[in-house]
Amino acid sequence: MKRKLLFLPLLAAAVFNSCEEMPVTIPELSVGDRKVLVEELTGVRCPNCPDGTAALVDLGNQLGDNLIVVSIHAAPGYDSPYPENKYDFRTPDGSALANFIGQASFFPTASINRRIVPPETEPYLPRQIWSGIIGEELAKSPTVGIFINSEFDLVDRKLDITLTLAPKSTLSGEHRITVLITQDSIQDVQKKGLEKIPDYYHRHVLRDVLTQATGDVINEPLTSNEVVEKKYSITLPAEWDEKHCSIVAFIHHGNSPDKEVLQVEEKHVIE
Amino acid sequence: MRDTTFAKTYSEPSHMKHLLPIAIFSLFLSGLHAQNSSRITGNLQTNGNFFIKNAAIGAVGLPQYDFQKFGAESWLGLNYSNWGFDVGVRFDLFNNSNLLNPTGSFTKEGIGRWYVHKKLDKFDFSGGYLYDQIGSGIIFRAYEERSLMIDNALFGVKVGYSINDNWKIKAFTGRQKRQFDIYGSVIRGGAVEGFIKPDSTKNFSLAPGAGVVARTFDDETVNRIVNEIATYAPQDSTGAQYNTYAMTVYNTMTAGDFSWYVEGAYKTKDVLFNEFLTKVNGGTGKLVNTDGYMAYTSITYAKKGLGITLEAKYNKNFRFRTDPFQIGVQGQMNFLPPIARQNTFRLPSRFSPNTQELGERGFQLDAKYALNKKISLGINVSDISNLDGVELYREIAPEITYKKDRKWQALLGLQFLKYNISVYQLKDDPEDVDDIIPWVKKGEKGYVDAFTPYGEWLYKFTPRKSLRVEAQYLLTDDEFGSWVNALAEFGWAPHWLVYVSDMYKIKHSEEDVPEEKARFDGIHYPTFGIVYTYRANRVSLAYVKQVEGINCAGGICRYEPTFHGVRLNISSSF
Repeated sequence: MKRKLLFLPLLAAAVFNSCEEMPVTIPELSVGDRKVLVEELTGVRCPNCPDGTAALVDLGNQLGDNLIVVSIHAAPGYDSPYPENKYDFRTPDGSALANFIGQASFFPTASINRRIVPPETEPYLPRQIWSGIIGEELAKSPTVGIFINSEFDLVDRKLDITLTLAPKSTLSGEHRITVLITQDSIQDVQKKGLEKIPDYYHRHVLRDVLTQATGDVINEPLTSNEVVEKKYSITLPAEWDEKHCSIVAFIHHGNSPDKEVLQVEEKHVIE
Repeated sequence: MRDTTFAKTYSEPSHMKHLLPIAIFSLFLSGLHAQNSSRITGNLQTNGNFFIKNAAIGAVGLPQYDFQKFGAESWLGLNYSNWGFDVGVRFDLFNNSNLLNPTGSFTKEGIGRWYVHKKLDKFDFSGGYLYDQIGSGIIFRAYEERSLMIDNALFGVKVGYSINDNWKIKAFTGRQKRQFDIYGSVIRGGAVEGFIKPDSTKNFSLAPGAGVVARTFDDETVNRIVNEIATYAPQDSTGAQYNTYAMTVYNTMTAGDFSWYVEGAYKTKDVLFNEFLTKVNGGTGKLVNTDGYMAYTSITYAKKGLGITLEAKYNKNFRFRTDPFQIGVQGQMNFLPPIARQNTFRLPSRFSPNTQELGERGFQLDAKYALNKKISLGINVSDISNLDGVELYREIAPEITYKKDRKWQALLGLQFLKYNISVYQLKDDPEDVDDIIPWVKKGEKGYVDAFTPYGEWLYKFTPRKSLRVEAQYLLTDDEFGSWVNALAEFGWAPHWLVYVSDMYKIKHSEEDVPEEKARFDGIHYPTFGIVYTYRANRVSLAYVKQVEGINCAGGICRYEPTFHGVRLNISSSF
């Protein structure tokens, strides 16, 4: 019996082997040419969503133009406006876009370049993991460049957009382009924790999708040294403040479950 | 057009993945006819949900209501024993299932479990998907809870060794299962357990044990942790490491009519997400790298006519997950015992506390006393607060049971409840000023104060025919307000059971009630069903209209939306 018990300290030693942990080095944050699209699913009744938005704003301050955020007001059960809301941020395109991305089960939630990150089964990811996945995406080299040119007529409020897509190498398979308009800093009621904030600044609100919500299939071949040009136009409704509106364009896959975004670009309507 | 395909891109080729367990199982079955000592057993559980859209109660906007219309889950397990071997395989199926994600749809099927077990002299070998725990599960528990879609099986190997008749030791290693996938982190651990009875003539014994578990993050998880922390301001920044160790010691002492279980556990520094901390930029929630500890004890006294159980626990930072980014019930490596009873009646169970992994302390007293053969009294008291002393949950529930010969029996109870809805459900509760039950608690923001009388009456017409009636009245002005529920169940043993129930949302008498608060006012939630039982087989079919709420099992709870439709359940053991 006593001899057998000698195994116990040996086993404990095996389990505790290397108890003296080598701390992991935390590197400096760095970015390259790659830009990352974050599609945040939110709603004015979602009490935790402002925390998610704040985290994205904070990341945006650190990453600058490399992080592009779109807030889609289509969180099931949380997106219908309160009677005191001035605006209804829901749009049919927003709902279609949110459904195309996947299904969310928790809020705040966001998709990062529409990547499905194992063991998750949907592109919507919990807030804890956003920074980590954004970091992984930023470390990748972009395979295609997107250049946005736009003209906005202040009188008739018509916005003409020209996109130039420039693949760095030949891209095979189906690719899609999605173009949308966001508006930043809209003041309106928002639930935050246990309070209703009457003058909350809603950030990066999705206003309209100029392509199909599922993206328009790019029929032209995407080959290196050749560019593809696409044109879109929209007349901005009078209640949209053009000074806070932006054009967001991104190339992505579109066959479920792979809807991954390859590159994204953003340009203010008025620079 | 909405896409309804949810297959994961990262799955292994399913036919390859399934070949091994099927081959092992077939190999053993091939010897079936030649052996007399062989034994094959199995079980089947199937749930089928037919969804019927109903906008008035919020049964709308989910894929199952909008276009899928049907969802199902099924588990078919087969176990075979021969030559000292035990092998088993289980087929799992999820079709448009809302079990994984109550607001989503999950479709996948395949081998959910397989295992091989062999006892060889004093050794015990197991491999495959294993369920096991150390002590009460505080540092490690691999288990299955189908109602919450928890299946934390360890995909690995386990070796046990019997030192003698009273002392056993085990060691295991593997990775945790998630549906049809495996997490990246590696888990390893072991435990030693014994039984000491100094004098066989006396009712005194000890059952001590000790265990340790280590978890090693995989590179991908560490990279994500590093990327997350890299975005923090220096004041919020924290360290990280690959390995975390958790250890526990426990003992059950039995002395006469007393039984006393005590367990203490410690966890070394672990990277975990604390959703209650605020970053310097004002954002809520951040990763922290901290150690944790937990103590749990339970004392039971049982003598003829009297039973008393007193439980207490204290835990701090004892969230232990295979991946720190997992939320809800996903990725849990351990199980923290609940400190409140699991109510069975519908309305007293409407507000149930889920265990606070980051810190809580509480106690529970449960006592039952039989005055005579006809009357017995009972009381359950539980009180839970966070480590800053903020009250989370308090329940006081006295009960009386009366038995009239063998003809009928009745139970009457009262539940006095205080429930911190702002912590448990992140819901607001602004209207406590004129609380209608001032003797429970008056005027505290963020709490549900409820008073619920409940009763049950069982009448036996004959030894085979019985009627059970239950009723509850949940009186509160918090959340959606007061509810009433009644159920009648007629049993015709041994095969048939029919039941009908209705839960009704009492209308608010005031006129200026906010829309959100009054949205279920005046709505009936009827349910009726029929159950057929034949030996170990059970089939039930029911029409169900069910309000949104919290579903709890074993202290683990989650939000579940409204259900409206028809449910078919089949369970069978063979």
